[in-house]
Amino acid sequence: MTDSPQAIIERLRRLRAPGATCDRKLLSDLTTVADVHVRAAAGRTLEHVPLDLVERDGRALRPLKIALAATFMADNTAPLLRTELLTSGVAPTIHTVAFGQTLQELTQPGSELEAFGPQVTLILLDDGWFLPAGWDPNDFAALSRALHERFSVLREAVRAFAERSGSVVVLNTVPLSEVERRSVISFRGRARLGRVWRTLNSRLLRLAEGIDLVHALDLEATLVESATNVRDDRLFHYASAAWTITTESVYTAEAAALCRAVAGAAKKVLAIDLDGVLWGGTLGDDGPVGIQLGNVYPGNAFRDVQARVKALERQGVVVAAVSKNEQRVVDELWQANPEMLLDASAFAAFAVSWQPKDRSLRDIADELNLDLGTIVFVDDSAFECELVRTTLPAVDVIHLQGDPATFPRRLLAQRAFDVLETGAADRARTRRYHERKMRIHHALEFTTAEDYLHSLGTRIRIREADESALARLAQLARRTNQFNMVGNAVPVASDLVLSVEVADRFGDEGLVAGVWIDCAGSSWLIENFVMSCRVFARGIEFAVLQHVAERAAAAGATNLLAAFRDTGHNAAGAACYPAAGFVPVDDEAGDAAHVLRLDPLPQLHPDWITMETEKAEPDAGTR
Amino acid sequence: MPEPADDHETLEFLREAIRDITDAPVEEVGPDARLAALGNWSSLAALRLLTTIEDSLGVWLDLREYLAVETVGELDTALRDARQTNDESS
Repeated sequence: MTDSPQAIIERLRRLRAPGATCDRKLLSDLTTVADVHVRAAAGRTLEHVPLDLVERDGRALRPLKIALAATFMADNTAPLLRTELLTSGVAPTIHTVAFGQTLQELTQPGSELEAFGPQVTLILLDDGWFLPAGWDPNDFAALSRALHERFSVLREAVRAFAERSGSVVVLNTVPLSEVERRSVISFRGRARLGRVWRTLNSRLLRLAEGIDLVHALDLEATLVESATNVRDDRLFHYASAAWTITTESVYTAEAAALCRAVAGAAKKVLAIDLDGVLWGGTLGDDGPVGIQLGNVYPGNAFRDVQARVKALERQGVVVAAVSKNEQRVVDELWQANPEMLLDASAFAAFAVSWQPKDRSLRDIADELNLDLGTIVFVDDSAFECELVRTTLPAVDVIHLQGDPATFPRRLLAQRAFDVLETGAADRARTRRYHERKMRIHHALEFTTAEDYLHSLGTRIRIREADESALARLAQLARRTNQFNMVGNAVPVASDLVLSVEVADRFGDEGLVAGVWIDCAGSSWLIENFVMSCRVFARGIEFAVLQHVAERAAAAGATNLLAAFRDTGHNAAGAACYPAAGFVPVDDEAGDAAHVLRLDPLPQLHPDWITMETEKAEPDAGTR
Repeated sequence: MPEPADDHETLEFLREAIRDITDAPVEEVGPDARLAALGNWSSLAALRLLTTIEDSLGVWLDLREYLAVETVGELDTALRDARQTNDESS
C-alpha cells in the first residue's frame, strides 16, 4: 500500500530537517503520484533534500547539468523536471535563464548560461515570441516572412551556442494559440494560417536534422493527446505564462526522456513475458494454434503488442523472452502458428524455464553482459512484477493487466528506451548478440583462453573519426557505462578522436570503441576511452592503447596521460589502465589520473589481434 | 491534492494547499492570516496557489477578485462564492 500524495509530500518535507533519516522508498512512491501540482511541489522541495537520503538501492543517480531558457514565464518546468528525472535515475543540476534573457544568453560568449556548462539546454518556445504584434490577417505572405525572420535569428543563436558550448540544445514545435487562429474568420484564410504556422514548425523540426547537437520535441503533436488548454489567458496576460502547468508537464515528460538519453540512463533491454503479453491464453494449455493471436479482438491487440516489440527490436532494443514454459513448447510455436509477427531471431536471449523470474533476469543480464539497471521487465502477472520489484530494485517493471488493447500504449508510455538517434549499429544489435552467443559456444571447444582468442581471428581497424563517426562515437559514449572512463559527457575540443572497429570470423562488430585525445606536446592526454561491453575480454583495449602510445611517441611525446572519474558504473573500465601498466598520478589541477611512460615503448598489443590502420583525409578527424 | 467533499472542508484544504506552497506551518494559516505576510509569498506563489485550487476543486476564479483577496478567510469566502456561481452556470 502506497501513501497518499499528501503523505508523500509530508515525508519529503521531513527530509529537509537536519539529521533526517534516509527514505529509500520515497522516489519510487513518488512515481505513483499523477497530480501535476503535487509533482511540482515535490520538485520544489527535492531541490533542498540531500540526495543521499533518497537514493534507491541498486540505482545510483546519474548527474546531469540542464539549462532552462524559455521565451515566456515557465514557473513549473524546473520543479516538474526535477521530480521526473529523480524518479527515473538522473540527478539534475538545473540553471534557469532569467525571463527575457534567452537570446542574449545564447549569443553572448562567456554568458552566465555558457559559464554554467550545461550538457542539455532546453529552449522553451511559445507562439508570442514568433508572432509580430498586430499581424495582418489579410497578408499571410508578410506573416510568413516575419516568422521566418524570427526563426533565422533563433537558428543562428542556437547554432552558435551549440558550437561554443558542446551542449545538446533542445527546441520544441510551437502550438498556435486558439485566439490567434480564431482571429482569422475565413476558412480559406485559416487554412493558409495553418500552413504558414506548420512551415515554422517544420523548420524547427528540420533544424534538428541539420545540426548535430540540436534536437526538437514535437510538442504540438504531443499536446494533441492531452486534451488541455495550452495556455491560461489570465496567467498569460498577468504573468507572461504561455503554458498551463499541464502543458508544462506534457513538455517535461518528453524533455526528461531526452535528458535520460543524454545522461546514459536510457534502458537497453526489454525482458518480456510471453503468455498473456505477446498472445492471449496459455501456450502450454491452449496449444500453439489455440492461443489468442490474429486479426480479431483480442488476438489483434496481442499482435499489436508484437508489432511494437518488433519496432523496438529493429531500432536496437535488445529483446529477451522471460517465460515460465517448456522450451520445447515455445520452439514449436513458430512452426505451428503463422500469426506470430515476431521471429524467434528477434530475441537476443530466451529465459524459458520454471525458475523464479528474478533468477531468469539475472541469467539474462549475465548472458548479455549488461547491467540489471538497463532492463525493463514486462509481465501480466502481479505476482511476478512484485517479486522483481522487491528482489531486483534496479529493474524497471511494467505491469500489463486488464484489456490487452491498452498494452501497446502502456508498453511505450514510460519512454524508457528513448535515445537521441538510432543508426546502423542499432539495427544490427540483435544479430551481434547472436554472433556473440556463437562465439561463446565456440569458446567451449578450447582448453585455454589464448587458443580461443587466436581462433577468433580478431581484426581491428583504427581510424581518425570523420564527421559521421564523431556522431556515432558520441552516441556510443552516451549508451556505454561500464567501460567509460569519465562518464557520458563527450569532450568537445579534442585534438584527435579515434574510432575503433572490430571484426572476427563470426561477423563484423562495427564501431565498438572511441578514444578522445588532447595532443599537447610531450604529454598526450586520453580525455576519454569508451568501449562497448560486447567486446570485453578480448584484449581489444590493449591493442588500442598500444596504437595510441605509438602515435604519441611518434609525435615526440614522452608521457601518455589518461583521465579517469569514478561514475559508480565504470568498474570494468577502471581496471584497464592499471592492467596496461599505467601508474596513478596526482594531478589536482588537471583531469589526469594515470600516466604511462613512453620510453621504452610499452608492448601491449596481444598477438591474436591483427591491426589495420588507415589515415583519414588530413584534418578530417581533428577539430 | 485531497478533494474536499463539502464547503466546511474547503478551509482545511486551503490551509494545506497554502502550507504546501509557502511552507508556512498549518497552525499559522488561520482564517485571519494575511497571505502577503506568509514566508515565501510572492506573485508566483499566488499563481501556484490559484491553479492548484482551481484544478483540485474544479472552480474558476476571477483573477482580479483573487488578487484583491488579503486573508485566508477572505479567500475561503471567495472560493465558496465561486463554487456556487460555477455550479449554477454549469
